[in-house]
Order: sequence, then C-alpha cells, then structure tokens
Amino acid sequence: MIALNKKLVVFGLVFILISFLVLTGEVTAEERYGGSLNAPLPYGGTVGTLEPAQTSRIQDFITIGQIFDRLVRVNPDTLEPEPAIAESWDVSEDGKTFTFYLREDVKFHNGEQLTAHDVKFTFERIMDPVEASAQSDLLENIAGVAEFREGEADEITGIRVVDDFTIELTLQTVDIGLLLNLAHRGASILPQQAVEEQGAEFFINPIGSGPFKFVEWIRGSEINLEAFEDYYEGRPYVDELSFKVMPEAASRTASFRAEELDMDIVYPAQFQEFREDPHYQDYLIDVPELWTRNIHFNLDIVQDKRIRQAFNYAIDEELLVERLLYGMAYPAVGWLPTTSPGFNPDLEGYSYNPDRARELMEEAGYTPDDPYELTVIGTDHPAWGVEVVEAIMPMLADVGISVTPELVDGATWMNRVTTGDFEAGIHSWGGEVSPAMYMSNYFWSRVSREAGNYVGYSNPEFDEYIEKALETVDFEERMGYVREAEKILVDDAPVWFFNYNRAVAIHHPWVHGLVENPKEMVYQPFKDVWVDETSPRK
Amino acid sequence: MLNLLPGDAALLAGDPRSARNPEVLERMRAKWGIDKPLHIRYVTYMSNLLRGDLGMSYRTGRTVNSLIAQSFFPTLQIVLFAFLLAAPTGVFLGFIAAVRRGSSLDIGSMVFSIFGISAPRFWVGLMLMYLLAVNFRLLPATGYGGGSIRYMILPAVTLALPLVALLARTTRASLLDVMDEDYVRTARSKGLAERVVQTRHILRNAVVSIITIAGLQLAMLMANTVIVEKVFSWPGMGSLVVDSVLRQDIPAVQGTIFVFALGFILINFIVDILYVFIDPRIKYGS
Amino acid sequence: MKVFIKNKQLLIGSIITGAVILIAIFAPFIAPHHPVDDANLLYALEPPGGEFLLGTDRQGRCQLSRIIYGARISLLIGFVTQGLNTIIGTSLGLIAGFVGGKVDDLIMNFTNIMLSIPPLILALTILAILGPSLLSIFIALGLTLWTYTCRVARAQTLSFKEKEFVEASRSLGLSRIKIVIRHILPNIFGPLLVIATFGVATAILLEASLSFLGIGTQPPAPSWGTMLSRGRDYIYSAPWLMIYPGLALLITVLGVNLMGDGLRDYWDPRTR
Repeated sequence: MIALNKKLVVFGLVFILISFLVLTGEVTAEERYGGSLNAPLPYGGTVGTLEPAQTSRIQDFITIGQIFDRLVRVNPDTLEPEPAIAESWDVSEDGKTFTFYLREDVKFHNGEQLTAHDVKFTFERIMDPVEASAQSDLLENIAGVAEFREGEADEITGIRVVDDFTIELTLQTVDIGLLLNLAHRGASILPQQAVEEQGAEFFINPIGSGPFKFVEWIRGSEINLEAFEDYYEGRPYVDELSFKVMPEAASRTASFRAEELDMDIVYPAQFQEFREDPHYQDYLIDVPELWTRNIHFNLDIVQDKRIRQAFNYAIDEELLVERLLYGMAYPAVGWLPTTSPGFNPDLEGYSYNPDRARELMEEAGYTPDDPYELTVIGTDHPAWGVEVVEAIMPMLADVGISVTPELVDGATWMNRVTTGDFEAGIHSWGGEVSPAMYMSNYFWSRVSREAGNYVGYSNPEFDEYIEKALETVDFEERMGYVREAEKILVDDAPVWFFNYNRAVAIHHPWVHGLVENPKEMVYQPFKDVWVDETSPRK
Repeated sequence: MLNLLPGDAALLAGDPRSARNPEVLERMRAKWGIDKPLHIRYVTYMSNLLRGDLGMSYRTGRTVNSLIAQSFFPTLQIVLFAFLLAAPTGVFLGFIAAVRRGSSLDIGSMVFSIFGISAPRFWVGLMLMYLLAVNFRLLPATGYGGGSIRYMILPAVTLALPLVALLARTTRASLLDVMDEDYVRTARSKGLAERVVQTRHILRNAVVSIITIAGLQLAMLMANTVIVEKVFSWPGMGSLVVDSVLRQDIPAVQGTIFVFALGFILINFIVDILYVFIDPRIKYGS
Repeated sequence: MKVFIKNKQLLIGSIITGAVILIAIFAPFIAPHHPVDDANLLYALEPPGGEFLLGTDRQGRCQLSRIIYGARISLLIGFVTQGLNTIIGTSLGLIAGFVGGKVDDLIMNFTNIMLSIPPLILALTILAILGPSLLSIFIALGLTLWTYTCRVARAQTLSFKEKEFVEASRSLGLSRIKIVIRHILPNIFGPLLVIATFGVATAILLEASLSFLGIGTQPPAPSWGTMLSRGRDYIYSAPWLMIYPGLALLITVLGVNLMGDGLRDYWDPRTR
C-alpha cells in the first residue's frame, strides 16, 4: 500500500512538474516581432475623419489613437493619468498651473522632432473658431480662450512655451479633469509644420507621433498602418496593423471565424455562442466597462417621480441580463458602474418589486387597465436598443405602464434627445474616467440639454454636491461628495437604471497582449500586441 | 428637397457633450453654410453642381466628390463582375430553354428563374455567406480585401443571381417570339441546318430585346448594390448612400443620387447606340 | 401542354397568394400566440418544435405567430402601395398618351428622371425625410414605383388612340374623359393588372429591404424584413430566426410573381 502510494506521489509530482513546465512555457513564450494584425472598426459604416479634434466617434478615435500620441495617457488598470509625450509634470500650489516636461526623443513619422511648439499649435488649432472643432470642449477651461476666440488675442495666454521641451498650461478655475482631457484622443498632438504646409489635405494622409504610421485608407473598408520604427517607447511588435470597417455583428463574426480578423468585439448573440464553443471559450477577454445603459426620461413629460420609481421597480434586471444579454452585463444599481473609482457598493437601488411598482402607479393614478402611456425611442442596437424595450413591455404593462418602442437611427436619436423631442429614450453612456464628470456631464443643471443633460434634470441639492466634487482635489473627500450626489440621483430616478456594460472581446490563440480596457474595449495598446507563428499572417 | 431632412447638421456632426457652447454650434453652422436661408443654399448648390462640385459632406469633413471618387470604383467592380457573370449565363439558360421548349431543362431553368426573381437579395446573400464562407470556408465572408477577386465573388454572385433569372426569362421569351416569325420559317423550310437557323437568324434577331433588358438590368444592378454592399460590407456607392441617409449627411445623399442617376442615363445612352450597331433597321433622326 | 404550363403558373400562384391572404386575414385565429404582447424572457430563443413550432426569438415570442402576423404587414404594404402606384401611374400615363404634345413631354421627362433613381434609394430618402411609420412607407413606396405603370399605360393608350372605335366615338362627340374611361381604360386593363401584380411583389420586397436596413416598419410590429435583419446575428446559434422569415418572404413573393406570369400569359399569349 505504502509503496503504491509513493509511486502515486512521485507520479503526481512528475505530472505537476510537467504541466507546470508546459504551462509556464506557454505563458512566457517570447514576444515576437513581425506579422500583421487585423482588428475591427465595429461602430459604424465608415470612418468619418482622422482629424483628432474634429470627431466624437469612437470609430474614428480607434485609428487616431494609433497614429497620434498625446501628452499623457490613462492607465487601463488604475484609470490614472500616466506619462506619454510628457514624461513628467508639476502642478502649482493653487492647482491652476500645470507645467509639462516633454520627452526629447519623440519624433513624428516624417522624422521631425516633436516640441512644445507643436503642442501649442495643436491646442490653439483646436480652439480656433475657424476650425469649429468638435472637441474644443477639452481645453475650454484654459485661461485666455475667450479672448482668443473673440479675435482679441492672437494666441491663448494660458498656453506658454517655456522652452522647446517645456510647456505651461494655466487654467481659469481648478479643474480635476485637465489631465484626463489631455489624455483624450481628441487632444492628439499634430506636427505644426506639416499641417501648415498641407492644410486640410494633411488629414487624408496624416502624420503623427504614435506607434503606427498611416499607410492607406480605403474608404468604407479598411485603414492600413505600419509599425513606426522610431517610436519613443520602441517599435510595436507587429509590422502591420489593419483596421477593417465592419459594422454588422454577423458579418464580423463570420470574418473572425474565417480567420480574417485576429480579434473581434463580441455582442450578446455571439457571446452566447463563443462561450459554449470549446474552440473559442478560452480566448474571450471581458471587462466591466465604464458604460451605463439606461432609459432616459424626459423630465418635462414624465414629471411624476412615482412613475419613474415604479418603472425601476417593475423590471427584473437580473432576468434581462441573463436571458436577453446572456450575462453580458451587470444589473445597475445607480449611475456609476463598478469599474468607476466612484462606484458605491453600499448604494441602495431599486430591486425587482412589482408590488411596490403597482402601489406607486396606483398612487399616481394609473392601473394596468388604465395605464400610463410612454413612447421610448431607441436604435437597433441589440443590447441597448428597441429590442430591450420590446422585452420589458410585458413587465411594465403588468404594473400599469404601457410602453411603445420607436426605432430611430443614431443620428435621429441624438437629434430628438438633444432638442427635447422625446418622452423617453434608451441608450448607453459613459467612457468617462472621472466619477464627478461621469455624473455632471449628464445631470448637472448647468449643463444644457443639448450638451448632455438630456433628461433636463435640475436638483439644487445634487448640484451642490457635484460642484463641490468638481472643485475638490483630495480624492477621498471628492468621492464623498460624489456618493452623496448619486444617492439623490437614484432617489429621483431620472432614468431607468438598466445595467453596466460588460465588454467582451475575442481573439485567436496566436494573438497575445490584449488588455482589459474598461474605458473602451477596442482602445487596445496595439503596440504591445504580438502574434506568434501560428497566425495566418505571421 | 433633401434639405428637408430633419436634424441640424451642426448638432449631428458634433459631440453633444462638446456642443455645450452655443457659439461653437453657430460656427459649425457657418462652416457648412447652413446658417443661410434655403433658397440661397439652393442657388449655391446648383451653381457649384454645374462646376462639378457636389459640396462638402457634413459628417466626414470631406468633399462629396472625394467620397464618391473613392466608392465609385468598388461598386463598378462588382457591378461589372456580376454583369459578366450573369449576361452569358442568363442568355445561355434562356437559349437552351427556348430551343428545348417544354423539356425538363426548360421547366427547370424557368423554375430557377422565378425563384431567382422572387428571393430577397439580402437573404440570398446571407445564405451564400453562411454556406460558402462560414461553413465551408471557401471564400472570405465580407470586406473589400483591397479589391481582390476572392472578396468580390460573393457580392457579385448575389448581385448576379436575379439578373441571370431575368435574362433567362427574357431571352427565352424573345427567342420564342422570333421563332414564330416568317423569315425563320422560311429559313427553316429552305432546309438550312437547325443550328444555323438557331444562331444566325433567331439569336441575332432576339438580341435587340435582350440588350434592352440587359441594359435596363445593368442599371438595376447599380441600384441593387445598395443592399448587397451593406450585407457584405463592401465600400461602394451603395454603402455610401445608405450610411449618408442614416446619418442625414444631406450633401452626400444628394451627390450619390446624382451620380446614380447619371450612371443610369449613361447606360441607357450606350444601349441606344448599341441598337444602331446591331439592328440596321433602327435609324435615328428620320 | 402549353396551356397546361400556362394554367399551372396562374393556378399555383393564385393558390399561394390566396393562402397568404387568408392567413393574413385570419391571423388572430390561426396564430397560437400574440406576436408582441406574449414576450416572455423565460422562453427566449427556444428552438423549433414543442410548444413553439418555429421556435422563439430573443424576447421569447413565438416566431410562427410573428410570421403569421407579418403576412398582414407585407400584404397591406404590397397592395396599398401598389394601389397608389397604379392610380398615379395610370392617370399620368393616360394623360400623357391621350393629350400628347407638351403635356406628354413634361410627364415623360419627369417619369424618366424618376426612373433613373433606384427605387430603394428613393424610398430610403423619402423615409429619412418623413421619419419611419406605416404611413411614410405607403407614401415612400407609393411615390416610387409608379413609373413603370406610367410608361406602359402611355404606350398602350397611344396604341389605342388611333384605333377606329376611338376615332368613331370621338366623331360622335364624346368627351375626352368619357372616351378614356369607356374605351381606353378597359382595353389597357389587362397589361396594367399584370404590371400591378409584379408591382405588389416588388413593393413587398422593398418593404423587407427597408426594414432590413432599419428604416422600414416600426418594431414591435413583426415585419419579415426586421425579423431577418435581427436574425442574422443568430446565424450560428439560432438559424431558425433567419431561415423562416426568409422563406415566408420567398414563398409570398413567388406566389405573386407566378400569378403575374400567369396573368401575362392570359392577356398576352404571344410571350410565353
């Protein structure tokens, strides 16, 4: 018996050792240079523009992020700003002046050196009224912007070139968001000389300082990039990076399975399939994303708080997440998602309670036989569009809310919501790293409906906390205000809190180095991604 | 007319969050010239059109000319490819069917053709994609692939199927018409070999109506690209027009429709010229 | 043999079309479930068989019931828009053919311009202006497909205009309108009916295409085009969502087209 056991032990040890070797062998496989990577542009039919400040579409920013670089970047793990072109920075005591020290080895793809003059040029171009930049908001708080815009000043006084590699930004008010704004892809640094020489043509054949060089843009189909040898953090692993425009989830999956794409963004329907597929299930990466899905109520129309609360009580979010989204989300409690630094695990939301919902509706004067009628506009998105509304119709009918879905395209949705021409609308919001801004962007009464306060929310108590949060530099104190504000928000229920997104990507076994980026899954650090010999494009 | 499209282009183009500042919106409106009244915009548009300038796209910040220039060739590619696939196949099927009238071959090709006409194109496209690209992995499912033939096959075949069906029917019908004409009977009674009769007399005389239909269908092909390009993510005019409509990019919609119409007129013109070459009986200006 | 084939087309076409019409009319009695209200996530994506003969969709709604109710939408849109088209096309064609001269030039030029814009794009644009609703679809398709009818009506009118019986009634002093209604319209009725039948098929396909592109019939109404467009995401895990609505569409359009073929053979036996 003992002998046998010894044998077993030895056998077991050998087995463990071998499997350990095999496993570690796989884990520490050498990073490899070469090959090419095909990634999708999944969010629309085309790429609009490659001019960083002239777009607000993630579809465009995916490519822009690879061609251009920014002063700072956001670490996907900590969500804190970290050095990029600026290797360090100082903040003045009053918190209003930032001095950035740039790296001296940053080159543009044409070989020119990136200096503080390029930074100043880029920022002034973003604020130039002639350009009417879509992203001018990012730098709105810099001192002297108003004078520059009105034509009273030739330059923005708050942007000062100290020497070739030092630049100083002075703000009008203390702003916790500046570094995050500078990390935004809309604030990518342009080469002054090339832009001035080429004008608008520049952005058809753009030159940046990012890890990948622009090669060609086949409209509506693909954008091809190649590795930039002189990138200041070393060249990317892959030689070529190709972005394929593929808005249709079904054709994208087909392309992925046909090995034409190396990675893909997964929608609920595909998630369910991949999860059950032994060939693919190990190559799914997922992350709770910084996006909140919900139905916005137009508060001018859905004025009765009881109706909004009843709406929240009436729906079984857990069932929806499980059966409609196949687990690809986390039921929402409040506004801030789990990955946000401001997430409050103790927050009390609306659990599924149809009886309470019926009570509230009766108090408000409605019954299932004489229901409250509401039209909800939504797009055709499978996870936050009219299909969700169609699924919740019976639950709401049960408590006395009769919902009519209305399908609109994205542009119309935006237009109707920003002009207040809607009763309620379903959508997905977020991507904002700062919790205070994640809230203020949508609910601060000083933000106009056009600009993000789509519901038309106005609660002085909430405003007070949000304003304090926006001005407070100390993190813990700031989070305290954010939590108070969110409590008020949840009680007022200006939205139906549906879910926090769980973003899922899938890749083939030969792709290594993809990360879980909660800000946006397609915002991958492609320079760190490499492919091994089993890739068809090695 | 298209300016009636709802939506403020300035709002649509910008990020709503960046539209916090009404001045920014005003400047955007000025940038696209949509701060001016409708009739002035119309006059400006028409005068630019005469100079071949289709204006500036609201959503992409580029000229409509350049958008169209880039998407025209891919569409031309699959349209021509589909036409080259469909024209011989369709005529051949119709010819066989007419010559072997009443045979199982005839019935078979006519059944095929009624199915080809009735089947929704996007459904056929998806089924083809499912079978050939997903299940058997013979062909790439979607995308442009730099314009290589492999990528062209599925969209072109999807486009070609209804055309094959229509051409087979038309060819058959017009051949049967011609067969009853006197000169064919004469030729046959003169004792000419059946094959000679078929090729020299019948086919040649049926060619006129076949070309008419083929020409019309070539134009229809352009239109069908709208849905087929969407299914296969093909970066052509069809995708451009659908995206532009959905994003309410008015100048881009106007420009694309203009080019589609131009293409249609051009094809009709070419068909007219072909008539004169093929059928000496047709003379213009008499 | 010839007659047999000819009749068979009309026969099969009429049977299919008739069946689809009956299904549409009696949908509430045939369908086992309600196509919209019976959503229940607990039954989401059930495969065909069992309680749900053709399976269920994402929201747990019975697909068979949705397809049955979908026939209502397809047929309603097919017939109403083609009715509009026939009225517009025939009136314009009759006027152009009968009045001739500058009026004819004007109408035909306009028709040719309209003909040069692909119907799907024209409909798409009209829908984008009007915003998607059933009424908009009627208008969009009703304004799109009349051109062919117009050309045929004009050509037919021209060919009858100089005929003796028309000349005769003209010399009898009958008013133009009476001549058109009494003599020309009945004579061109056949070809117009043939065109109209094919037009119904085209309109049904166009509606499906528009819904497929996401700007057609409004959900939760069960349009076959919408069902197909949603089903394609489930091509691997739930292929029934893509196959059956496509088949329903194919069979309906096939039936109408066969009927059109049969009718054409009846009125114009020269083309087989």
